[in-house]
Amino acid sequence: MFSFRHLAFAPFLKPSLLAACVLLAPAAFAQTLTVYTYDSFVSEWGPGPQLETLFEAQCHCDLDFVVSADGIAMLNRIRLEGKTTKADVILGLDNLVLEQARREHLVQPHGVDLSPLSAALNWTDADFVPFDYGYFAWIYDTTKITTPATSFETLIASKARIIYQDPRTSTPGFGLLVWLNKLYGDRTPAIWQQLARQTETVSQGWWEGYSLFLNGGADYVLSYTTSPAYHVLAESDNRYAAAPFDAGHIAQVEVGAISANSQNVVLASDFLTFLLSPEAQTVIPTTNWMLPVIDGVALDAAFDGAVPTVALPVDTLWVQEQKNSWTRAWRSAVAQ
Amino acid sequence: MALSRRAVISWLTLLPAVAASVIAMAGLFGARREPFSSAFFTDPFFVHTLSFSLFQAAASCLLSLALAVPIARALTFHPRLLARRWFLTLTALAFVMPSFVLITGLMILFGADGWLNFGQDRPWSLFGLQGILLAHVYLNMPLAVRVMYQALQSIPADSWRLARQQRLSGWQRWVKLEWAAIKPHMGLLAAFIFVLCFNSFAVVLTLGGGPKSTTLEVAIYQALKYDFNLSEAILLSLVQALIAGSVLLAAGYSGKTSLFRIAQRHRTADISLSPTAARNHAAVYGLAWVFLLLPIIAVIGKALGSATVVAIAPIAAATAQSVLIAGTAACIALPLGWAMLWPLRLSRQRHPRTALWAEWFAVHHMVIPTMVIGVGWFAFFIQKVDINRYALVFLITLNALILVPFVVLHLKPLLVLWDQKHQRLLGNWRPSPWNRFFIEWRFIKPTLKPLLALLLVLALGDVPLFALFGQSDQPTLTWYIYRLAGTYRLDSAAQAALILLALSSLLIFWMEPRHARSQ
Repeated sequence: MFSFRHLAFAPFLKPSLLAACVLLAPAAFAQTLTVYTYDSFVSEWGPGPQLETLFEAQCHCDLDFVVSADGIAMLNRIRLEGKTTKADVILGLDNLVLEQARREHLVQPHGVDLSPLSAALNWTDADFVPFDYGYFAWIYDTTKITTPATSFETLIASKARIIYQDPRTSTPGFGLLVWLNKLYGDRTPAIWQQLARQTETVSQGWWEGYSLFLNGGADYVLSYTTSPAYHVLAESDNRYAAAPFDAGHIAQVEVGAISANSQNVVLASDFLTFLLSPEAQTVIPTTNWMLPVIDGVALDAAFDGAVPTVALPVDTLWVQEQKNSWTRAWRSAVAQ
Repeated sequence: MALSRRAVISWLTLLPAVAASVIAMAGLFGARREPFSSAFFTDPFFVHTLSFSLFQAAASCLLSLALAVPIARALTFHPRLLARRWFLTLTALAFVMPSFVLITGLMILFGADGWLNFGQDRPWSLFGLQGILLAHVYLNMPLAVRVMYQALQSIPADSWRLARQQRLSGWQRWVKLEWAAIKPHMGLLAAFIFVLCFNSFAVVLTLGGGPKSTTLEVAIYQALKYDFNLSEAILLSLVQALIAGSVLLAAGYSGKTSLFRIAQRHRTADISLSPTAARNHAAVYGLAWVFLLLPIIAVIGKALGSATVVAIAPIAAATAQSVLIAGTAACIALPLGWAMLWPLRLSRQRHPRTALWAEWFAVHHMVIPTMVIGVGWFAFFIQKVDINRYALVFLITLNALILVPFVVLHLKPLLVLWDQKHQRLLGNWRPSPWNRFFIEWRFIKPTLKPLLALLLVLALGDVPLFALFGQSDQPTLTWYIYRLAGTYRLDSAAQAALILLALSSLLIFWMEPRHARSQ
């Protein structure tokens, strides 16, 4: 079949016309890969713009981001679009919600070679490819606290004021819910009740809680082990640190997947493979403030404390099955 | 009831508002997967949520009204208050204070390093019911002050003189003059504040401090977004709309109040003021200044105290985008709201019950959560049109619809009054629709400036609609602020919030009558 793509290389064309065709070529002839993602990923400080440039240079395609407010909003959008979705790649769900997307058949197997992944992640999922991760942790101000908590027990014993996010409306808050249930099982409601006594507030989103903490509203705030790195690298402020817990931390693993309705499976798979490349992984730490998922990426010393000694594995199916009863248990324990 | 052609046409003006709700419901019904289940309503947590919603709204409303009384009286009675006009401008600003500014301000004030923190053993925390009440009083008490001050200003000078001559005691004067003047406005004012607090969202989520303080609006948000249980969201919003709607309708009978107007000229009430009373009034006035200014000053301090300065170019672009959306939405909402009053005005005298329905349809968007309309529209259109391509159209349309009730509430008392005055004249003269339009236009025109400013500031603060329909490469200023805050850039967010505050202040300043002088 005749294709316009060949015209650009036709030897009989005048040079000026040829130049015009070459200039037009990427826009007019290239394939478009539609990537659904969340707002801060493509913001001017996020990894989106740099990843787009890098990938477009090697795929000779047009990468088109369709942006939702956050990961949950993106998931809902794809649910509502059903078969009409234009998404090729769904970027920015995480290990705590991905089973919902799988259960509703919104994704298809990615076929990506996962061998570059760091062994620490222990990731073999056939539908989802991790692109960054971070551990939930309590952040504190080292100028105010000299001996930080090393467990939930010592945190409770210290009676320090804490702020965390609502598990119903915020990813770190939900992470805490999983973390506690992972560590304490049936005893979790009792821990919630003890924590409630020293809780300054349960904030709706991450920023409200974090903002209050930075203003001195509490001794500890729930965030990521990578948060202190932001203050060091962007603000030259060494004050903040993540309290390492002996019993271990759980991670939020952000993942990409190929949409079940994608007609661009090969290109989508290429993109997910690209995300695991050293050049893409180098972009992520200082834009998304999360850890790279492959080994050998040069990280600033500010990230040194970001990988805990003990990483607790999270069974995604178990989270999916239990989350409603966990949330109810939290609600009634804390509302007392 | 035989309907005239005119009556039928007049009801068509309500079509945009009704169609918007029908679209939203169609979208939600079409997309829901779970069957309707009453399980949620028998859950003790729902009962708790509902009663807490009602309680905090009622308490916020009562507190706002009660605290407004001494301030409005101080404004009226003290002959020489410094910057009385500026105070009234500040009350208008506080009423429309962007929630980011208020929340950030309160967090700075009550944080451990904050000015209002009294050490580790502080007597109370900002979070919980007290935080919600504090923020709701901050937002709504100023409105109550304005309406009450306006009412007290309307007491004729002769009445004050008479009261003095008859040597009425303070209490008698309050009952016979002041309360009598305020009372007719209390119904609508209280209902309005109650509904605003009942539907309050950002404040409750942030200052509520946990599941104890969950309100219906928060439960709807959770059902819509995190549980994606649209059936539950529909049922919850019906409960919410029923309660808020009945309150607003019950107050609708007393349609004499224009909530957003303020006197052109201040007249100090002619009463004999003892030095003690004067001092008390001045103290109340001073405290009110401090209360309303503190969060603003806190945010200014935070914004200016930071070493980093937010990049100007994206802020300028975001501001332009905000002004474009809010400006267009306000300009659409104005004629829409005006037109929607038509069926109400036609049926008001002979069919008061019909008029009530007409009013309900005109203002019903005020009691349905914005998010419910937004998600409903999103669900309805997502498979039919390219939402991203027409993002601006959706944003402007939906913002305009949300603003319509404010137009209706503002214009209704004016136009009803106008109808009463000119009924007989118009009956004989029968002007052409165009003529009538121009006569009415000339009548309402002087009051439109404050209304327009109010609409603009309200639309500038939109978050839920942008979250659904907005284009991330063309953020509004408010969205940009949340994006800064969500990516660790809290100082920059405070700086951007300051720009939003400045923009709102300019609009509010423009809205207030400028030539007035204290007498």
